[in-house]
Amino acid sequence: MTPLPSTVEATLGLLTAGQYVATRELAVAVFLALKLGRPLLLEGEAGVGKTEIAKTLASALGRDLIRLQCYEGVDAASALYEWDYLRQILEIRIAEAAGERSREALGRSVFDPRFLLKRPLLQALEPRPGGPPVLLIDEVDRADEPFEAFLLEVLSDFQVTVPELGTIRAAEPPIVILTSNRTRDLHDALKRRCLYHWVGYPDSATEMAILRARLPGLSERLALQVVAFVQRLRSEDLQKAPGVAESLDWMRALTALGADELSVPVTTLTLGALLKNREDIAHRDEAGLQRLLDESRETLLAAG
Amino acid sequence: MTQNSLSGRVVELVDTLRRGGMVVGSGEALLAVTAVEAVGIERIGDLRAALAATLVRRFSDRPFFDAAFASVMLAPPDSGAPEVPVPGPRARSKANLRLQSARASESPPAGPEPQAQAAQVRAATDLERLSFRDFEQMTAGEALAAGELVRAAAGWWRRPVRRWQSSAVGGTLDVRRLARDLARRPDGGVVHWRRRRAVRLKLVFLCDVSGSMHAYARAFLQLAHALAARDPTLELYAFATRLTRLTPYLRYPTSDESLARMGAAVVDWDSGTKIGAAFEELMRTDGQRILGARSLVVLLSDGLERGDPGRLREAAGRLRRRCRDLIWVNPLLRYDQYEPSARGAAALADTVAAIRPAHDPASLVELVRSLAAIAARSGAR
Repeated sequence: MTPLPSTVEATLGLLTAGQYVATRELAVAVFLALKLGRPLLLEGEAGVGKTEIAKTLASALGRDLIRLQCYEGVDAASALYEWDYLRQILEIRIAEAAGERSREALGRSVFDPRFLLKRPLLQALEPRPGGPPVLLIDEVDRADEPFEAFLLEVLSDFQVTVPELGTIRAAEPPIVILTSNRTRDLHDALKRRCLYHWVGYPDSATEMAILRARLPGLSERLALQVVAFVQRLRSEDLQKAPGVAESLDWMRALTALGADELSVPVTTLTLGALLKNREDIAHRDEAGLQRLLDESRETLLAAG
Repeated sequence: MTQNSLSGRVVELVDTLRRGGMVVGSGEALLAVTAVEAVGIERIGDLRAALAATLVRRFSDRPFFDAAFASVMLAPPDSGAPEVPVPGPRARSKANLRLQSARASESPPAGPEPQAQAAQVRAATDLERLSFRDFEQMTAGEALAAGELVRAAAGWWRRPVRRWQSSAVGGTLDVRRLARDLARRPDGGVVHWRRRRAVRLKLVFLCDVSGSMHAYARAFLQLAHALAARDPTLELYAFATRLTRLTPYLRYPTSDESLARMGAAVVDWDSGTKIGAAFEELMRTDGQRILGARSLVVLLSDGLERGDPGRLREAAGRLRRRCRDLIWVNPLLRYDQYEPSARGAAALADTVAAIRPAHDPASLVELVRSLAAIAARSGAR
């Protein structure tokens, strides 16, 4: 088990070793979350690497990663635990066939841990050989408000009560990372339990470093052009600006096509990797793309 | 800077943030002090990041936090009036304005005295008469009393919740309840069914505050305030030539205080209207957060567009596709012969799902009823 980093530098080093290019500010937030044992809430546009932070932390610290993907209508049964009803009913039928009539014995056998289906939150509270796991609660903004209130309870005490079994408490609380795409505001009570960090789009140098870290052996020249173009594109009026994930996809697409330089035809062909909205694409005709390409090239030249 | 004076500065920072309208609990303040101890004070950037991670809960508060941080934490010790940093781009300068007012105002503006207000509330019959009185023709006293009616209108809003409920007529088999029953009475139980209750709707109110709309905008904002008390997810924006988010000002207990704060926040009262530009701004800045298949967008405007009607048509179309329904509330409907014939108004009329009147308290009651009806319909799917 890798010990937790004791300084901001060490945290930054840990993330970098895990191929995650983090800003210093993010490293401070992660360091504090680990040091103070608080959940870390990461907000930001889609595709800026929020989920990756949890994955990187888990692998860098040698912990298990437990992921709870939130969705509209997620409830305690799918997040915490559920009794395996069908097997319970079967057990009752078997007991009946065997002539078992004692209510108490039946109750004990039916609510046995064997029939408990453990969902991510309960799994995260259990002791593990590698130390407490990293619990990733992904896209928490998609869940309903009642579920948020429920999360609040779990995240403040790290204990859960199953009426039939008793209270299950985490000996050591897990490392909790929550992510939100900000499709709605989270409740202040939940935010108050967490440390907060906004993950923004990276600047050119950082984005370049990300491409280098994630796609070893890339064409340096093409990558510089890609980064300059994407950075320029983000300043346009778009419904959905491309994230880092899109830059990576686009870089992969261009490499797969064997392109060694950005041009209008190859950009038109691969624009779908960057822009995922019909209006956004429709507004970039050849002349518009040419203009964007020229401008991004000028930025590159100016930067040397 | 010693540790001790550092804690003092953190407290001062928290105080400034609170006066600027951010919600910071004492728990967060304590956490911030702990965080500062953990990070140390060798690097200003780390210190700022640590304080931001513990004190800021909202992305939009960050520019204000940065301004406050610079002013409180970076000021030389014992300097009387801390310098406000040089204004940068727009968000920065907005933050600086907020900072200035936060540092200047020790207490919030006082609302009107309750007695004066109570004296204005008339007998029930008067209220009844008022409910068909055009907002624009009301005297100041009548307008105050009409506030009661508008608040009452909010009573029609029922916000459906999305939960499982047991159902007599079928749905999904409620296996959980069945198993519980069987464990209690192995000799058999009643079969239980359950189904989803209702789909939640989110109200997004857009209020035109241009010169021609003054009296109606006031009533509409009062309605929004009353509805927000029942439904905390309501979003409110005002626009004339630019868009201002007013949702944070809805949380004040009285509509007078709420409206007074809105009045200070909106900078383009009584100017011309650019509806298309406002729609575009809304979609660009907050679209992802507030628009979606469950958003009901209610636009109060007379449709007298000053901008390009083509642009309005395009923007309204996009907005319409990004929400469940777009409802146009138009006070001009009080004239029987009114036709949305101006090009901007025609573009709006072609796009919206419905046009409703809003010139008197009675029509606002009708409006809320129709919203509740839409909400009920969505629940019945």
